[in-house]
Amino acid sequence: MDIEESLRRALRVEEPPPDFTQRVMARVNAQSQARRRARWHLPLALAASGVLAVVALGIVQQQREAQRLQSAQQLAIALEITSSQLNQVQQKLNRGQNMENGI
Amino acid sequence: MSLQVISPFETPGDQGALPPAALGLQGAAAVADDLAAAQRGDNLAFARLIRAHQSRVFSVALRLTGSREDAEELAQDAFVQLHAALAQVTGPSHVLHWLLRTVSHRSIDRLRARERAPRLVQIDADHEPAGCDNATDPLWARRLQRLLLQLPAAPRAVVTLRFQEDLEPTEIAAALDMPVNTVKSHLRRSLEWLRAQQAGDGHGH
Repeated sequence: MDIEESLRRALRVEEPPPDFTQRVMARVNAQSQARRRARWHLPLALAASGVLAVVALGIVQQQREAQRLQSAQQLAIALEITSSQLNQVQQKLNRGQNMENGI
Repeated sequence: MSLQVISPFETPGDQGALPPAALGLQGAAAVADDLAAAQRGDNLAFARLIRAHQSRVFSVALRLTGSREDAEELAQDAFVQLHAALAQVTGPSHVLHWLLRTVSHRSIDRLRARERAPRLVQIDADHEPAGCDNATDPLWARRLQRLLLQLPAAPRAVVTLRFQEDLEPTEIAAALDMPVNTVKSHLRRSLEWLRAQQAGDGHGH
């Protein structure tokens, strides 16, 4: 018999297992889900980074504000002390001048 | 018909497609509808595309690997890859071309990986009775299938696509990314070798 005809007969199409389509579809669905999940990974990572950056900026600003308030309070106290010391010196000077004038 | 060598991911227009006869005209119309629906995301249509092509894709992988398990895995891979590349598929005959091309390449890769770790395919001559020259002899058909598994990967793919899928040498060249002359040379030498085996078995003329 002609070898080419024999090959055509020998290489007939064979059926895959009955659940072949379902198995492929299960893989396709799993892949689609993974792709959908992966699609959200970058936006989620960017959003999380944004939130972290805003929170960090808030904390830094809070710390700066607290430092500014503390510095203002210290300055106010220093000015108060200086003012009271100047008053005392002024009073002493006034007293000395009065004694010289015999008052 | 001549085909251009294309990647499965290229859009070949009509040039990368198999002739409509390869699908059957009725089949081609149904596949065209299912392809369009699958491209719009209809999974039921994609399942119908699988059913329309699974036997041929599975059989090519089976003839090339000689293992039903490997063939099923490779055929599944081809369909999963097709789903991911649906947008680039241009028509029903391109679906078949794409699948045959992908499954052939993957099977050849699998065979070559196996060849690097050699494994003998045992042909038990005692179970192959000689002297029977019958066109429908199932034992001779099985013997031929097993002889095919002794061919190296590329000629095996060429013979499978020629005699199972009835592709022309130009179409085989396009599917396997090899020059037409190489395809013809693989065919000629494989047939000579198979004829010699046939004569040795007493199946000759």
